[in-house]
Amino acid sequence: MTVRVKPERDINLQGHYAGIVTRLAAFALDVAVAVTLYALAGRVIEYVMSSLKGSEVSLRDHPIISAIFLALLWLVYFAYPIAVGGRTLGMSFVGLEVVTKTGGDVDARHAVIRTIFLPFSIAFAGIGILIILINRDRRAFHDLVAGTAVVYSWDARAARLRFLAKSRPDGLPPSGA
Amino acid sequence: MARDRRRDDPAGQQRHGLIGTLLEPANAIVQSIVQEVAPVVVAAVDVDGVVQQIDIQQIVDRIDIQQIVDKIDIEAIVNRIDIQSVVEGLDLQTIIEHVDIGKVLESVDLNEVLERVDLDRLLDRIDVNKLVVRLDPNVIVVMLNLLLPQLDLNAVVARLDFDTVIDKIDVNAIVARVDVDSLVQRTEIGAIVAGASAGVAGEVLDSVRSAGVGLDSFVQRWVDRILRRQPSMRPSGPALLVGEQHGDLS
Repeated sequence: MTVRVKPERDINLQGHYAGIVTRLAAFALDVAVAVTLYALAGRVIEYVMSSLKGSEVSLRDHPIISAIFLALLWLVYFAYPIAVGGRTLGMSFVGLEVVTKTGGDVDARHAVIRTIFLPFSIAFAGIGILIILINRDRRAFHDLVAGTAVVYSWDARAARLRFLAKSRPDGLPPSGA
Repeated sequence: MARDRRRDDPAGQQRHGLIGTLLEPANAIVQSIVQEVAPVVVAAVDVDGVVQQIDIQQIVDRIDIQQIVDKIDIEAIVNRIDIQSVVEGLDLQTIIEHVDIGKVLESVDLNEVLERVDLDRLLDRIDVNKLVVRLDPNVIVVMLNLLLPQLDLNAVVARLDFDTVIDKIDVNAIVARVDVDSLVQRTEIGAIVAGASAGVAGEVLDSVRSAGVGLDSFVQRWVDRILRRQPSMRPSGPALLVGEQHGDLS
């Protein structure tokens, strides 16, 4: 099934508040990437520690260290890219960007606070996330705390050109395809 | 017949000669008396009094002027007048000097005159090209400087048929003259083209993003229905990004 692209609508929607579906999709992707990274990094750490110690080391046997490592990875994975570019990997894929509530660029403080309070939004059956549906400006609990918002943001003009190139009336193949 | 008979009658001729002989001295006497008396009588008559007693108006009323005029052969009179010599005898310069042009112009209703003028016909007869060619370029510049501030260019532009103008433009010829390499280097067209030609991955991303936006709109519409909320009442985005706009466009 091919998804019908609406380039004109998408161009007009840039900068508008993002909805719950795209935000959850981006979050799911980020969680998948973060978990993968955690697993890979855990294996690397276990391997290094085992080599140094001369005996097999498993993080499962050290739950506190494991939790601290996961928290650090979470913080770095979510906060750093948002502070630098306003978006995580999952957000880049879906086409979202974190901005301040007025629409300005977020800084490190916004990014860290937002990342710290993100687990609280997920807790309690995801009520903090579901308030996106009720809130007029579609901000989740961690957005309200950090003073941020999530908007649609991707190069919709380039997408429109791709769309036009794909549907050329002369039947010629699109350039660069 | 009686006269003829008298002429032929010798007795009648004799009688006539006798009376004539008597009348001639009598006439002379009467004439001498009149010559003596007439000046005295005339001097005694009050002519002014007589004239004053005459009702001139009544006389004039009884005269049929139209009949008199009809009897006058105007054409014959005009033919006898030497118009050329009359005109030559006129000192036009002196006449013109005596005319007060200001007063003449004041008495003329220019609006009424202009209303009677068929401007379209007048303009049709004017060769504007010839007129403009004869004008001094400096004069044209001065005229334009005076004219342009008074022109409502917006109104002029509003009346232009741009479709017709654009139809006459050979866009291909213009594009052929564009230095595309320089344009790509100096603008962000290069980046757009590079982004647009990302291939299959780009198309997949476009589809995912567009589908996500569609799903967002779908879910939000249902939530708004359940909450009985007007979508137009929601802010569409942060003020810095969308201004004062309200409501989703999706």
